Amino acid sequence: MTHDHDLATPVLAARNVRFSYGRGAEVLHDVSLALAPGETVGLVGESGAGKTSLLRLLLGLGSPTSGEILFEGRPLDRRDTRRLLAYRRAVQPVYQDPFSSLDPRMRVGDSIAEPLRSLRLPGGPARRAARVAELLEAVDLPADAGERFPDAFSGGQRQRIAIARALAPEPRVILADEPVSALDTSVRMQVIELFQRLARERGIGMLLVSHDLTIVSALCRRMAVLEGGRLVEEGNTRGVLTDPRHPYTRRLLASVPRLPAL
Amino acid sequence: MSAMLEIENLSVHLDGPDGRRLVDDVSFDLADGQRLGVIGESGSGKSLTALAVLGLLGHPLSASGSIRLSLGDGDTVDTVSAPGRRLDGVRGRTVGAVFQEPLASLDPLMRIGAQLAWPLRRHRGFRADALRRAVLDALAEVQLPEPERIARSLIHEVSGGQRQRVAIALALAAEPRLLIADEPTTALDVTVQAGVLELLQAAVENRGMSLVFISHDLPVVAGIADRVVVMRGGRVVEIGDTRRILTAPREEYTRTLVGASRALDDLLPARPAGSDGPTSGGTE
Repeated sequence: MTHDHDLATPVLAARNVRFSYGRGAEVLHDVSLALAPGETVGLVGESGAGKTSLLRLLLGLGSPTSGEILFEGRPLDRRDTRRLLAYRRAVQPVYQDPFSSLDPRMRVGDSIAEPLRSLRLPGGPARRAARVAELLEAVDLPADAGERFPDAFSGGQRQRIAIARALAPEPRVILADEPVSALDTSVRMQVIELFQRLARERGIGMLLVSHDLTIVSALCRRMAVLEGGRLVEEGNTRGVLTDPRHPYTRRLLASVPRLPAL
Repeated sequence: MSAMLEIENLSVHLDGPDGRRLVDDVSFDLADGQRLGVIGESGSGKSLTALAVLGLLGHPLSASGSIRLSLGDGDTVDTVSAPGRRLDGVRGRTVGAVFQEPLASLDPLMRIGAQLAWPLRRHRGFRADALRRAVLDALAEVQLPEPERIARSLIHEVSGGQRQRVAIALALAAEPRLLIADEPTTALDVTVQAGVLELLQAAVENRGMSLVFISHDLPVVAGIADRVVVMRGGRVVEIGDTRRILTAPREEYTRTLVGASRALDDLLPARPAGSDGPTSGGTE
Protein backbone atom coordinates (compact mmCIF):
# COMPACT_ATOMS: atom_id res chain seq x y z
CA MET A 1 0.00 0.00 0.00
CA THR A 2 1.24 3.45 -0.85
CA HIS A 3 -0.92 5.15 1.73
CA ASP A 4 0.39 5.93 5.13
CA HIS A 5 -2.47 5.44 7.53
CA ASP A 6 -2.87 5.22 11.23
CA LEU A 7 -3.41 1.54 11.93
CA ALA A 8 -5.28 2.08 15.17
CA THR A 9 -7.99 4.41 13.88
CA PRO A 10 -10.98 2.66 12.30
CA VAL A 11 -11.32 3.51 8.62
CA LEU A 12 -15.04 3.72 8.95
CA ALA A 13 -17.31 3.70 11.98
CA ALA A 14 -20.87 4.28 13.02
CA ARG A 15 -21.16 5.77 16.49
CA ASN A 16 -24.49 5.63 18.37
CA VAL A 17 -26.36 5.90 15.11
CA ARG A 18 -30.11 6.32 15.07
CA PHE A 19 -32.00 6.67 11.85
CA SER A 20 -35.52 7.00 10.52
CA TYR A 21 -36.80 7.73 7.03
CA GLY A 22 -38.56 11.09 7.19
CA ARG A 23 -40.97 11.09 10.10
CA GLY A 24 -41.34 7.30 9.95
CA ALA A 25 -40.52 4.89 12.75
CA GLU A 26 -36.89 4.58 13.78
CA VAL A 27 -35.12 1.80 11.82
CA LEU A 28 -31.73 1.94 13.55
CA HIS A 29 -31.57 2.17 17.33
CA ASP A 30 -28.23 3.30 18.71
CA VAL A 31 -25.98 1.23 16.47
CA SER A 32 -22.20 1.38 16.85
CA LEU A 33 -19.86 -0.53 14.57
CA ALA A 34 -16.22 0.09 13.64
CA LEU A 35 -14.08 -1.24 10.84
CA ALA A 36 -10.34 -1.28 11.52
CA PRO A 37 -7.88 -1.03 8.59
CA GLY A 38 -7.84 -4.30 6.65
CA GLU A 39 -10.54 -5.79 8.83
CA THR A 40 -13.34 -7.94 7.40
CA VAL A 41 -16.68 -7.61 9.16
CA GLY A 42 -19.97 -9.28 8.32
CA LEU A 43 -23.20 -7.49 9.08
CA VAL A 44 -25.92 -10.12 9.21
CA GLY A 45 -29.64 -9.68 9.34
CA GLU A 46 -32.91 -10.32 7.52
CA SER A 47 -35.27 -8.00 5.69
CA GLY A 48 -36.24 -5.03 7.78
CA ALA A 49 -33.30 -5.45 10.17
CA GLY A 50 -31.84 -2.14 9.03
CA LYS A 51 -28.66 -3.44 7.40
CA THR A 52 -29.21 -1.65 4.09
CA SER A 53 -30.07 1.56 5.96
CA LEU A 54 -26.82 1.32 7.90
CA LEU A 55 -24.90 0.60 4.71
CA ARG A 56 -26.43 3.66 3.03
CA LEU A 57 -25.35 5.84 5.93
CA LEU A 58 -21.82 4.42 5.80
CA LEU A 59 -21.76 5.18 2.07
CA GLY A 60 -22.74 8.77 2.78
CA LEU A 61 -26.11 8.39 1.07
CA GLY A 62 -27.92 9.98 3.99
CA SER A 63 -27.26 11.30 7.46
CA PRO A 64 -28.08 9.67 10.78
CA THR A 65 -30.97 11.18 12.74
CA SER A 66 -28.55 11.21 15.64
CA GLY A 67 -25.07 9.83 16.21
CA GLU A 68 -22.22 9.99 13.74
CA ILE A 69 -20.54 8.31 10.83
CA LEU A 70 -16.77 8.61 11.24
CA PHE A 71 -14.27 8.37 8.42
CA GLU A 72 -10.69 7.87 9.65
CA GLY A 73 -11.77 8.94 13.11
CA ARG A 74 -13.57 12.16 12.25
CA PRO A 75 -17.18 12.90 11.36
CA LEU A 76 -17.90 13.53 7.72
CA ASP A 77 -18.59 17.13 6.88
CA ARG A 78 -20.43 17.53 3.59
CA ARG A 79 -18.92 20.97 3.03
CA ASP A 80 -15.35 19.69 3.26
CA THR A 81 -15.09 18.67 -0.40
CA ARG A 82 -11.44 17.57 -0.22
CA ARG A 83 -12.14 15.18 2.59
CA LEU A 84 -15.32 14.00 0.93
CA LEU A 85 -13.30 13.13 -2.16
CA ALA A 86 -10.76 11.21 -0.06
CA TYR A 87 -13.65 9.37 1.56
CA ARG A 88 -15.21 8.45 -1.76
CA ARG A 89 -11.89 7.09 -2.99
CA ALA A 90 -11.40 5.10 0.19
CA VAL A 91 -14.88 3.59 0.49
CA GLN A 92 -16.24 1.72 -2.52
CA PRO A 93 -19.51 -0.19 -2.88
CA VAL A 94 -20.33 -3.49 -4.57
CA TYR A 95 -24.02 -4.20 -4.98
CA GLN A 96 -26.17 -7.31 -5.15
CA ASP A 97 -27.47 -7.18 -8.70
CA PRO A 98 -24.73 -7.36 -11.31
CA PHE A 99 -27.36 -6.78 -14.01
CA SER A 100 -28.33 -3.32 -12.83
CA SER A 101 -25.09 -1.98 -11.37
CA LEU A 102 -23.32 -1.55 -14.74
CA ASP A 103 -24.34 0.92 -17.43
CA PRO A 104 -25.43 -1.25 -20.38
CA ARG A 105 -24.36 1.40 -22.92
CA MET A 106 -20.83 1.76 -21.60
CA ARG A 107 -17.93 -0.46 -22.59
CA VAL A 108 -16.73 -2.48 -19.61
CA GLY A 109 -13.30 -0.81 -19.72
CA ASP A 110 -14.92 2.63 -19.52
CA SER A 111 -17.12 1.53 -16.62
CA ILE A 112 -14.07 0.33 -14.72
CA ALA A 113 -12.14 3.53 -15.48
CA GLU A 114 -15.07 5.80 -14.61
CA PRO A 115 -14.23 6.17 -10.89
CA LEU A 116 -10.66 7.17 -11.83
CA ARG A 117 -12.06 10.11 -13.74
CA SER A 118 -14.91 11.09 -11.46
CA LEU A 119 -12.76 10.82 -8.33
CA ARG A 120 -10.11 12.94 -10.09
CA LEU A 121 -7.29 10.48 -9.72
CA PRO A 122 -4.15 11.48 -11.61
CA GLY A 123 -3.28 9.95 -14.99
CA GLY A 124 -4.13 10.34 -18.66
CA PRO A 125 -5.82 7.89 -21.05
CA ALA A 126 -2.73 5.65 -21.39
CA ARG A 127 -2.32 5.28 -17.66
CA ARG A 128 -6.03 4.62 -17.23
CA ALA A 129 -5.95 1.92 -19.92
CA ALA A 130 -3.02 0.23 -18.18
CA ARG A 131 -4.91 0.40 -14.91
CA VAL A 132 -8.02 -1.17 -16.47
CA ALA A 133 -5.91 -4.03 -17.86
CA GLU A 134 -4.38 -4.58 -14.45
CA LEU A 135 -7.80 -4.56 -12.75
CA LEU A 136 -9.28 -7.03 -15.26
CA GLU A 137 -6.40 -9.34 -14.53
CA ALA A 138 -6.92 -8.94 -10.78
CA VAL A 139 -10.48 -10.26 -11.12
CA ASP A 140 -9.53 -13.03 -13.58
CA LEU A 141 -11.18 -11.56 -16.66
CA PRO A 142 -9.54 -11.69 -20.10
CA ALA A 143 -7.75 -8.53 -21.27
CA ASP A 144 -10.17 -7.97 -24.17
CA ALA A 145 -13.17 -7.87 -21.78
CA GLY A 146 -12.74 -4.10 -21.55
CA GLU A 147 -13.78 -3.66 -25.19
CA ARG A 148 -17.12 -5.40 -24.73
CA PHE A 149 -20.47 -4.33 -23.32
CA PRO A 150 -21.99 -5.77 -20.11
CA ASP A 151 -24.56 -7.89 -22.00
CA ALA A 152 -21.72 -10.09 -23.26
CA PHE A 153 -21.11 -11.34 -19.72
CA SER A 154 -22.75 -13.78 -17.30
CA GLY A 155 -23.89 -12.76 -13.82
CA GLY A 156 -20.67 -13.99 -12.20
CA GLN A 157 -18.51 -12.18 -14.75
CA ARG A 158 -20.49 -8.98 -14.29
CA GLN A 159 -19.93 -9.19 -10.55
CA ARG A 160 -16.19 -9.46 -11.27
CA ILE A 161 -16.45 -6.33 -13.42
CA ALA A 162 -18.25 -4.51 -10.59
CA ILE A 163 -15.48 -5.60 -8.22
CA ALA A 164 -12.77 -4.39 -10.64
CA ARG A 165 -14.57 -1.04 -10.79
CA ALA A 166 -14.70 -0.84 -7.00
CA LEU A 167 -10.97 -1.59 -6.82
CA ALA A 168 -10.07 1.13 -9.34
CA PRO A 169 -9.46 4.00 -6.88
CA GLU A 170 -7.48 1.70 -4.53
CA PRO A 171 -10.06 1.84 -1.75
CA ARG A 172 -9.27 1.06 1.86
CA VAL A 173 -12.68 -0.52 2.36
CA ILE A 174 -15.22 -2.28 0.18
CA LEU A 175 -18.84 -2.18 1.32
CA ALA A 176 -20.52 -5.14 -0.29
CA ASP A 177 -24.28 -5.59 -0.17
CA GLU A 178 -25.26 -9.24 -0.74
CA PRO A 179 -22.59 -9.59 -3.45
CA VAL A 180 -23.23 -13.25 -4.28
CA SER A 181 -26.93 -13.64 -3.46
CA ALA A 182 -28.03 -13.19 -7.08
CA LEU A 183 -25.48 -15.68 -8.44
CA ASP A 184 -25.91 -19.36 -9.26
CA THR A 185 -24.42 -21.82 -6.79
CA SER A 186 -21.64 -22.90 -9.13
CA VAL A 187 -20.26 -19.35 -9.53
CA ARG A 188 -20.97 -18.19 -5.98
CA MET A 189 -17.94 -20.00 -4.58
CA GLN A 190 -15.68 -18.51 -7.28
CA VAL A 191 -16.69 -14.95 -6.40
CA ILE A 192 -16.23 -15.71 -2.70
CA GLU A 193 -12.72 -16.97 -3.47
CA LEU A 194 -11.99 -13.79 -5.41
CA PHE A 195 -12.98 -11.66 -2.41
CA GLN A 196 -10.86 -13.86 -0.14
CA ARG A 197 -7.84 -13.34 -2.38
CA LEU A 198 -8.35 -9.57 -2.63
CA ALA A 199 -8.62 -9.21 1.14
CA ARG A 200 -5.51 -11.33 1.61
CA GLU A 201 -3.32 -9.87 -1.12
CA ARG A 202 -4.34 -6.22 -1.02
CA GLY A 203 -5.21 -5.84 2.65
CA ILE A 204 -8.50 -4.22 1.74
CA GLY A 205 -11.02 -4.03 4.55
CA MET A 206 -14.52 -5.23 3.90
CA LEU A 207 -17.92 -4.70 5.38
CA LEU A 208 -20.13 -7.40 4.00
CA VAL A 209 -23.85 -7.00 4.42
CA SER A 210 -25.70 -10.26 3.98
CA HIS A 211 -28.45 -12.51 5.20
CA ASP A 212 -26.22 -15.42 4.23
CA LEU A 213 -24.11 -16.78 7.07
CA THR A 214 -22.15 -18.92 4.62
CA ILE A 215 -20.43 -16.05 2.85
CA VAL A 216 -19.91 -14.19 6.12
CA SER A 217 -18.24 -17.28 7.53
CA ALA A 218 -15.96 -17.46 4.49
CA LEU A 219 -14.97 -13.82 4.31
CA CYS A 220 -15.29 -12.12 7.67
CA ARG A 221 -13.20 -12.45 10.80
CA ARG A 222 -15.74 -10.57 12.83
CA MET A 223 -19.52 -10.49 12.55
CA ALA A 224 -22.37 -8.45 13.92
CA VAL A 225 -26.01 -9.50 13.98
CA LEU A 226 -28.67 -6.89 13.40
CA GLU A 227 -32.27 -7.59 14.40
CA GLY A 228 -35.03 -5.01 14.26
CA GLY A 229 -32.53 -2.14 14.02
CA ARG A 230 -30.44 -3.25 17.00
CA LEU A 231 -27.09 -5.02 17.14
CA VAL A 232 -27.93 -8.10 19.19
CA GLU A 233 -24.62 -9.94 18.97
CA GLU A 234 -21.10 -9.17 17.87
CA GLY A 235 -17.86 -11.08 17.95
CA ASN A 236 -15.31 -13.24 16.24
CA THR A 237 -17.14 -15.06 13.41
CA ARG A 238 -15.95 -18.55 14.35
CA GLY A 239 -17.01 -17.93 17.95
CA VAL A 240 -20.45 -16.59 17.09
CA LEU A 241 -21.15 -19.41 14.64
CA THR A 242 -20.01 -22.21 16.92
CA ASP A 243 -21.46 -20.76 20.11
CA PRO A 244 -24.17 -18.20 19.33
CA ARG A 245 -25.37 -16.40 22.45
CA HIS A 246 -28.41 -14.45 21.35
CA PRO A 247 -31.61 -16.44 20.67
CA TYR A 248 -32.05 -14.69 17.32
CA THR A 249 -28.53 -15.65 16.19
CA ARG A 250 -29.29 -19.22 17.21
CA ARG A 251 -32.50 -19.25 15.23
CA LEU A 252 -30.80 -17.73 12.21
CA LEU A 253 -28.07 -20.36 12.29
CA ALA A 254 -30.53 -23.21 12.79
CA SER A 255 -32.60 -22.02 9.83
CA VAL A 256 -29.83 -22.34 7.26
CA PRO A 257 -30.70 -25.30 5.02
CA ARG A 258 -27.83 -27.78 5.26
CA LEU A 259 -26.80 -30.74 3.17
CA PRO A 260 -27.11 -34.02 5.05
CA ALA A 261 -23.79 -35.00 6.58
CA LEU A 262 -21.91 -37.65 4.59
CA MET B 1 -47.22 -47.74 -7.19
CA SER B 2 -49.09 -45.92 -9.96
CA ALA B 3 -47.75 -42.83 -11.69
CA MET B 4 -49.01 -39.41 -10.65
CA LEU B 5 -47.16 -37.66 -13.44
CA GLU B 6 -45.44 -38.92 -16.58
CA ILE B 7 -43.53 -36.46 -18.72
CA GLU B 8 -42.41 -37.89 -22.05
CA ASN B 9 -40.20 -36.11 -24.58
CA LEU B 10 -41.35 -32.68 -23.49
CA SER B 11 -39.94 -29.82 -25.54
CA VAL B 12 -40.82 -26.16 -25.16
CA HIS B 13 -39.85 -23.81 -27.94
CA LEU B 14 -40.31 -20.21 -28.93
CA ASP B 15 -42.88 -19.66 -31.64
CA GLY B 16 -41.79 -17.98 -34.85
CA PRO B 17 -38.80 -18.31 -37.16
CA ASP B 18 -36.25 -18.48 -34.33
CA GLY B 19 -37.96 -21.51 -32.80
CA ARG B 20 -35.30 -21.91 -30.13
CA ARG B 21 -35.84 -24.89 -27.82
CA LEU B 22 -35.86 -23.81 -24.19
CA VAL B 23 -36.80 -27.25 -22.88
CA ASP B 24 -35.35 -30.06 -24.92
CA ASP B 25 -36.67 -33.61 -24.86
CA VAL B 26 -37.30 -33.86 -21.14
CA SER B 27 -38.70 -37.09 -19.68
CA PHE B 28 -39.28 -38.06 -16.07
CA ASP B 29 -42.06 -39.37 -13.93
CA LEU B 30 -43.35 -39.18 -10.42
CA ALA B 31 -45.06 -41.99 -8.50
CA ASP B 32 -48.15 -41.38 -6.42
CA GLY B 33 -47.16 -39.83 -3.08
CA GLN B 34 -43.57 -39.22 -4.12
CA ARG B 35 -41.65 -36.00 -3.52
CA LEU B 36 -39.54 -35.05 -6.48
CA GLY B 37 -37.02 -32.22 -6.52
CA VAL B 38 -36.08 -30.46 -9.75
CA ILE B 39 -32.79 -28.66 -9.41
CA GLY B 40 -31.12 -26.35 -11.88
CA GLU B 41 -29.57 -22.93 -12.28
CA SER B 42 -30.98 -19.99 -14.22
CA GLY B 43 -31.90 -20.98 -17.76
CA SER B 44 -32.12 -24.68 -16.94
CA GLY B 45 -35.75 -24.91 -18.07
CA LYS B 46 -37.05 -26.04 -14.69
CA SER B 47 -39.74 -23.37 -14.38
CA LEU B 48 -40.91 -23.79 -17.99
CA THR B 49 -41.28 -27.50 -17.30
CA ALA B 50 -43.49 -26.64 -14.32
CA LEU B 51 -45.62 -24.26 -16.39
CA ALA B 52 -45.99 -26.94 -19.06
CA VAL B 53 -47.25 -29.42 -16.45
CA LEU B 54 -49.82 -26.84 -15.40
CA GLY B 55 -50.79 -26.19 -19.03
CA LEU B 56 -49.91 -22.54 -18.50
CA LEU B 57 -47.59 -21.96 -21.44
CA GLY B 58 -48.97 -19.39 -23.81
CA HIS B 59 -47.74 -17.42 -26.77
CA PRO B 60 -44.81 -17.11 -27.58
CA LEU B 61 -44.16 -20.56 -26.12
CA SER B 62 -45.38 -23.93 -27.38
CA ALA B 63 -44.91 -27.42 -26.01
CA SER B 64 -44.63 -30.78 -27.71
CA GLY B 65 -44.41 -34.27 -26.27
CA SER B 66 -46.78 -35.43 -23.56
CA ILE B 67 -47.45 -34.77 -19.88
CA ARG B 68 -49.88 -37.26 -18.38
CA LEU B 69 -51.44 -36.30 -15.07
CA SER B 70 -53.37 -38.93 -13.14
CA LEU B 71 -56.86 -37.80 -12.18
CA GLY B 72 -57.08 -40.48 -9.52
CA ASP B 73 -59.95 -42.46 -11.00
CA GLY B 74 -57.80 -44.40 -13.45
CA ASP B 75 -58.21 -41.61 -15.97
CA THR B 76 -55.42 -39.28 -17.10
CA VAL B 77 -55.20 -35.94 -18.84
CA ASP B 78 -52.42 -34.80 -21.18
CA THR B 79 -51.76 -31.17 -20.30
CA VAL B 80 -49.83 -30.59 -23.53
CA SER B 81 -52.72 -31.46 -25.84
CA ALA B 82 -55.83 -30.96 -23.68
CA PRO B 83 -58.04 -27.99 -24.56
CA GLY B 84 -58.03 -25.00 -22.20
CA ARG B 85 -61.51 -25.70 -20.85
CA ARG B 86 -60.52 -29.18 -19.78
CA LEU B 87 -57.42 -27.79 -18.05
CA ASP B 88 -59.52 -25.33 -16.04
CA GLY B 89 -60.98 -28.30 -14.20
CA VAL B 90 -57.56 -29.87 -13.68
CA ARG B 91 -55.69 -26.89 -12.29
CA GLY B 92 -56.47 -26.42 -8.63
CA ARG B 93 -58.43 -29.67 -8.40
CA THR B 94 -55.76 -32.15 -9.56
CA VAL B 95 -52.65 -30.02 -9.46
CA GLY B 96 -52.04 -26.99 -7.28
CA ALA B 97 -49.17 -24.57 -7.63
CA VAL B 98 -47.11 -22.23 -5.47
CA PHE B 99 -44.63 -19.84 -7.08
CA GLN B 100 -41.69 -17.77 -5.88
CA GLU B 101 -43.71 -14.59 -5.83
CA PRO B 102 -46.95 -15.13 -3.88
CA LEU B 103 -48.51 -12.06 -5.44
CA ALA B 104 -48.45 -13.89 -8.79
CA SER B 105 -51.27 -16.14 -7.64
CA LEU B 106 -53.17 -13.73 -5.40
CA ASP B 107 -55.60 -10.96 -6.30
CA PRO B 108 -54.50 -7.64 -4.77
CA LEU B 109 -58.05 -6.26 -4.65
CA MET B 110 -59.89 -9.18 -3.11
CA ARG B 111 -59.92 -9.99 0.60
CA ILE B 112 -57.91 -13.09 1.44
CA GLY B 113 -60.95 -14.91 2.82
CA ALA B 114 -62.93 -14.32 -0.38
CA GLN B 115 -60.06 -15.64 -2.53
CA LEU B 116 -59.88 -18.80 -0.45
CA ALA B 117 -63.65 -19.23 -0.49
CA TRP B 118 -63.67 -19.49 -4.28
CA PRO B 119 -61.97 -22.93 -4.67
CA LEU B 120 -63.54 -24.23 -1.46
CA ARG B 121 -66.96 -23.47 -2.93
CA ARG B 122 -66.30 -24.54 -6.48
CA HIS B 123 -64.36 -27.74 -5.91
CA ARG B 124 -65.54 -28.87 -2.52
CA GLY B 125 -69.08 -27.55 -2.44
CA PHE B 126 -68.98 -25.65 0.85
CA ARG B 127 -71.69 -23.04 1.37
CA ALA B 128 -72.67 -20.44 3.99
CA ASP B 129 -71.44 -21.20 7.53
CA ALA B 130 -69.60 -24.33 6.45
CA LEU B 131 -67.75 -22.25 3.85
CA ARG B 132 -66.79 -19.64 6.43
CA ARG B 133 -65.48 -22.35 8.72
CA ALA B 134 -63.57 -23.99 5.86
CA VAL B 135 -61.85 -20.66 5.05
CA LEU B 136 -60.72 -20.23 8.65
CA ASP B 137 -59.60 -23.87 8.83
CA ALA B 138 -57.57 -23.44 5.65
CA LEU B 139 -55.80 -20.41 7.13
CA ALA B 140 -55.22 -22.22 10.42
CA GLU B 141 -53.76 -25.23 8.59
CA VAL B 142 -50.98 -23.06 7.16
CA GLN B 143 -50.37 -21.79 10.70
CA LEU B 144 -51.40 -18.22 10.16
CA PRO B 145 -52.10 -16.43 13.41
CA GLU B 146 -55.53 -14.85 13.88
CA PRO B 147 -57.25 -16.45 10.86
CA GLU B 148 -60.27 -14.11 11.24
CA ARG B 149 -58.12 -11.03 10.86
CA ILE B 150 -56.13 -12.49 7.94
CA ALA B 151 -59.35 -13.50 6.17
CA ARG B 152 -60.53 -9.89 6.31
CA SER B 153 -57.17 -8.51 5.10
CA LEU B 154 -55.99 -7.60 1.65
CA ILE B 155 -52.81 -9.31 0.57
CA HIS B 156 -50.61 -6.22 0.88
CA GLU B 157 -51.64 -5.94 4.52
CA VAL B 158 -49.76 -9.10 5.52
CA SER B 159 -46.01 -9.86 5.52
CA GLY B 160 -44.07 -11.70 2.80
CA GLY B 161 -43.95 -14.96 4.72
CA GLN B 162 -47.65 -14.74 5.53
CA ARG B 163 -48.44 -14.08 1.85
CA GLN B 164 -46.65 -17.26 0.88
CA ARG B 165 -48.64 -19.15 3.54
CA VAL B 166 -51.84 -17.72 2.04
CA ALA B 167 -50.68 -18.80 -1.44
CA ILE B 168 -50.06 -22.30 -0.08
CA ALA B 169 -53.51 -22.36 1.55
CA LEU B 170 -54.99 -21.36 -1.81
CA ALA B 171 -53.02 -24.06 -3.65
CA LEU B 172 -54.20 -26.68 -1.14
CA ALA B 173 -57.83 -25.52 -0.96
CA ALA B 174 -59.19 -27.82 -3.66
CA GLU B 175 -57.23 -30.79 -2.22
CA PRO B 176 -55.06 -31.42 -5.27
CA ARG B 177 -53.30 -34.75 -5.67
CA LEU B 178 -50.12 -33.01 -6.82
CA LEU B 179 -48.52 -29.80 -5.62
CA ILE B 180 -46.00 -27.99 -7.78
CA ALA B 181 -43.84 -25.60 -5.76
CA ASP B 182 -41.54 -23.46 -7.91
CA GLU B 183 -38.88 -21.73 -5.78
CA PRO B 184 -41.54 -21.18 -3.08
CA THR B 185 -39.07 -19.94 -0.46
CA THR B 186 -36.45 -18.19 -2.59
CA ALA B 187 -37.78 -14.69 -1.91
CA LEU B 188 -38.16 -15.30 1.83
CA ASP B 189 -35.82 -14.62 4.72
CA VAL B 190 -33.98 -17.68 5.91
CA THR B 191 -35.85 -17.96 9.23
CA VAL B 192 -39.17 -17.55 7.39
CA GLN B 193 -38.07 -20.05 4.76
CA ALA B 194 -37.48 -22.64 7.47
CA GLY B 195 -41.07 -22.29 8.68
CA VAL B 196 -42.58 -22.43 5.18
CA LEU B 197 -40.55 -25.55 4.31
CA GLU B 198 -41.75 -27.24 7.48
CA LEU B 199 -45.30 -26.32 6.58
CA LEU B 200 -45.01 -27.67 3.02
CA GLN B 201 -43.52 -30.89 4.29
CA ALA B 202 -46.29 -31.35 6.85
CA ALA B 203 -49.03 -30.56 4.32
CA VAL B 204 -47.67 -33.06 1.80
CA GLU B 205 -47.35 -35.76 4.46
CA ASN B 206 -50.75 -35.20 6.07
CA ARG B 207 -52.60 -35.18 2.77
CA GLY B 208 -50.59 -37.91 1.05
CA MET B 209 -50.00 -35.53 -1.83
CA SER B 210 -47.31 -35.84 -4.47
CA LEU B 211 -44.88 -32.95 -4.71
CA VAL B 212 -42.71 -31.45 -7.42
CA PHE B 213 -40.35 -29.05 -5.69
CA ILE B 214 -38.34 -26.81 -8.01
CA SER B 215 -35.32 -24.92 -6.74
CA HIS B 216 -31.81 -23.70 -7.49
CA ASP B 217 -30.86 -24.52 -3.90
CA LEU B 218 -29.58 -28.05 -3.41
CA PRO B 219 -29.67 -28.10 0.41
CA VAL B 220 -33.33 -27.02 0.32
CA VAL B 221 -34.20 -29.70 -2.25
CA ALA B 222 -32.23 -32.33 -0.34
CA GLY B 223 -34.29 -31.59 2.75
CA ILE B 224 -37.65 -32.19 1.10
CA ALA B 225 -37.31 -34.53 -1.93
CA ASP B 226 -36.89 -38.32 -2.12
CA ARG B 227 -35.72 -38.13 -5.72
CA VAL B 228 -33.99 -35.42 -7.71
CA VAL B 229 -33.98 -34.42 -11.37
CA VAL B 230 -30.96 -32.30 -12.33
CA MET B 231 -31.59 -29.95 -15.26
CA ARG B 232 -29.27 -27.76 -17.28
CA GLY B 233 -29.78 -25.74 -20.46
CA GLY B 234 -33.25 -27.20 -21.01
CA ARG B 235 -32.19 -30.83 -20.66
CA VAL B 236 -32.26 -33.47 -17.98
CA VAL B 237 -28.71 -34.17 -16.87
CA GLU B 238 -29.35 -36.85 -14.28
CA ILE B 239 -32.15 -38.42 -12.24
CA GLY B 240 -31.70 -40.36 -9.04
CA ASP B 241 -32.53 -40.86 -5.38
CA THR B 242 -31.57 -37.77 -3.40
CA ARG B 243 -28.97 -39.60 -1.36
CA ARG B 244 -27.35 -41.16 -4.41
CA ILE B 245 -27.22 -37.80 -6.24
CA LEU B 246 -25.54 -36.22 -3.21
CA THR B 247 -23.06 -38.99 -2.53
CA ALA B 248 -22.36 -40.48 -5.97
CA PRO B 249 -23.30 -38.09 -8.77
CA ARG B 250 -22.63 -39.69 -12.15
CA GLU B 251 -22.58 -36.73 -14.49
CA GLU B 252 -19.89 -34.08 -14.59
CA TYR B 253 -22.37 -31.22 -14.16
CA THR B 254 -24.04 -32.85 -11.16
CA ARG B 255 -20.60 -33.34 -9.61
CA THR B 256 -19.87 -29.62 -10.09
CA LEU B 257 -23.20 -28.62 -8.59
CA VAL B 258 -22.95 -30.97 -5.62
CA GLY B 259 -19.29 -29.98 -5.13
CA ALA B 260 -20.12 -26.26 -5.09
CA SER B 261 -23.03 -26.80 -2.66
CA ARG B 262 -20.84 -28.94 -0.43
CA ALA B 263 -18.05 -26.33 -0.49
CA LEU B 264 -20.54 -23.62 0.55
CA ASP B 265 -22.02 -25.88 3.24
CA ASP B 266 -18.55 -26.63 4.61
CA LEU B 267 -18.01 -22.92 5.23
CA LEU B 268 -20.33 -23.18 8.20
CA PRO B 269 -19.44 -25.17 11.30
CA ALA B 270 -20.99 -28.63 11.48
CA ARG B 271 -24.41 -28.54 13.04
CA PRO B 272 -24.24 -29.84 16.60
CA ALA B 273 -25.91 -33.23 17.09
CA GLY B 274 -29.57 -33.08 18.07
CA SER B 275 -30.31 -29.75 16.41
CA ASP B 276 -31.03 -30.65 12.83
CA GLY B 277 -33.74 -28.11 12.31
CA PRO B 278 -35.00 -24.75 13.37
CA THR B 279 -37.45 -24.45 16.18
CA SER B 280 -40.63 -23.07 14.72
CA GLY B 281 -42.60 -20.12 15.95
CA GLY B 282 -40.74 -17.29 14.29
CA THR B 283 -42.20 -13.93 13.47
CA GLU B 284 -42.86 -13.20 9.83
